[in-house]
Amino acid sequence: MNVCEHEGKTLLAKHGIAIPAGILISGIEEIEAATKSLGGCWVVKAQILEGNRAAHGGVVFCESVSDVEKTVSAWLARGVNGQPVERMLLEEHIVAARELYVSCLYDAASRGPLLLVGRHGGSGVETREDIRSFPIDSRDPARSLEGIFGELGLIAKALPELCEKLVKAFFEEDARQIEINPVAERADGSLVALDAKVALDDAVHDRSAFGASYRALSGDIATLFSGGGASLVNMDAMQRAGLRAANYAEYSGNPPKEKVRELATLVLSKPGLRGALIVGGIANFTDVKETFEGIAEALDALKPSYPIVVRRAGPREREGLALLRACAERNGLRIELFGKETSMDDAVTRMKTLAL
Amino acid sequence: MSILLTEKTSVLIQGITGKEGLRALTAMRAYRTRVPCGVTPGKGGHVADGAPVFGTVRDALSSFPEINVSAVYVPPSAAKSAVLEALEAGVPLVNVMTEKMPLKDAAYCLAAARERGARIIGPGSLGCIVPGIGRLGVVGGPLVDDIYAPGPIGVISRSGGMTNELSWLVRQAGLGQSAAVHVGGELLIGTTYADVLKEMENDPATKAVVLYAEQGVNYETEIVSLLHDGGFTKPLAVHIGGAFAETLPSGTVVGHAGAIVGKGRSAREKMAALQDAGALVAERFENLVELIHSTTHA
Repeated sequence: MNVCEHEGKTLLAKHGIAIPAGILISGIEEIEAATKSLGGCWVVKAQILEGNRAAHGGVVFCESVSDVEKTVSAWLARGVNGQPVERMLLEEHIVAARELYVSCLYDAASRGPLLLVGRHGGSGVETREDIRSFPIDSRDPARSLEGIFGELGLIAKALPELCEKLVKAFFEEDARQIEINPVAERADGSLVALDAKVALDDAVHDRSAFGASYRALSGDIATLFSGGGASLVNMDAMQRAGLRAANYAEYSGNPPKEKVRELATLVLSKPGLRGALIVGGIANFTDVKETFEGIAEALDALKPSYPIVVRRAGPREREGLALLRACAERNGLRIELFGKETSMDDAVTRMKTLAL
Repeated sequence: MSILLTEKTSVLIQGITGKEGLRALTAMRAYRTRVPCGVTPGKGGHVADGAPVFGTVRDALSSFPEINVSAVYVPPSAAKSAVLEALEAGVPLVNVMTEKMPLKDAAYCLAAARERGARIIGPGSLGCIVPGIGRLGVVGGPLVDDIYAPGPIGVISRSGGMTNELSWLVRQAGLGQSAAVHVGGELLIGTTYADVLKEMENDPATKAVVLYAEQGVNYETEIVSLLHDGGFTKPLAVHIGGAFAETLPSGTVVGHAGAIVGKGRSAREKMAALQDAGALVAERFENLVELIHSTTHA
């Protein structure tokens, strides 16, 4: 779960890392007071979750209040790189003697946290080769840091202290990644975090209900997939078949039928649908009958006229498919039902034929 | 000979009195896998579906010293202490089925296991199966005998459901599996694709391997290195799910916690790197069957 820059900076400040003075604004009318209280020149930054924000014009240095107003009104009207902008962070402009790069993240290769440090910050830094990486032992981060303080101190005098605070914030906030790029080193040697890219650990911060996810997309085929892997494989198959998904939706584990009904209703009631794909792999322990009860209840209420293709297998598959067959008959629905003898790819192909 | 499970496998279930622990007990027994007992802190002396329950792993091991695997079915907040308890008691293989284990706890346990030379599979694993020998967890569910049969193909998957789906492809091709391992879908995992491939390289029962991986967090570079170094010499067919995700915003998580768009590498990049390293790459998941045939007939 990624959080916006200003939330990330608040988190850094909580752990004693210096950030520029800044004010979060959401409209033109707030600009004058904000610029006055910050003084000097400013940097105005669109609060969007975009990797390459600066490259897309989402960070602008301003010398006059009218510059700030022009930038902000353009963002509010048109967004940045297609993303709507609702909030802006107005900050004092920090003069940096030089810029560094610091990041802490979980690394697949070493299967644990890594501290990354670069002598040169700014955009494009990810591809540079002068970034040093230091493994951090989750069991004793303080000791890992002690071992590298000398080396960090050679890069910048205040760097060991910054890294200590960063690593502490990383663990205490259950982050997945905290990247500060750039870190400004001022003439007096002090370090200030000019940006903050923070991703939190979903396992801790996003306990969203029962392991289901939904995302609206722009196509016209509703999708309801069971299982993370099956959802990817089916979305890929749709793309190959030239079908455009109206949404991405996936549930896994053993959700109660009420939850499945809610998700199915959301997915199947979207206006303008030309078909629906309800597909899952061969479940290990998901109760196909119970989850399909939820889907049948949604279908009973919605009675959609578009064609529906269902492919599923696993515990109580026979009961589950029979239940949908009965639902189709009593509502006069166009549903085709398949078990594990039909591949997921063939189910997608069938959908394409029916939706033509 | 087989990997991970043998005739001597004896499994302890941590969290045996919970719903998932009990379900796993039933599933493992149904597949003739020995589960002499379980552990639930504070419930020592109870009985779970006929299996004695101990309060600690040490107590369980002193009554059943033959235990050599722990299957962990505890809530995310209890997973760290459960795994550490198993490691400290000297259990050499800990299969962590718990999903959504906090990353910092997972990292802690993986470091502890590495130091002790113990193996963790997962977290967020569904388990693994050696057809005809036994299973850890509920792999295959009630359809296990339809999907799994002893044979020459090793199966490795990032997804629990796709472990079955892939194994079913193998069966439909008239073949069976030497083992099927769900490594788990999380960002940090204790046993990676490459770790399983190393086991399968040394396993005479395995003649070829099929692998389902996903876009996002990068564990595929390890496979590339392994192939380059000659550490895996049997035929390997791979599919990477999630090519569609390239159109989603960076940071979006699709399906599994480790399938983070923009972190690691895209499906296309992974497929290209694996193909360069000599793996057979299936554009469609279902094509893995044909690749299996081309390898086993070779």
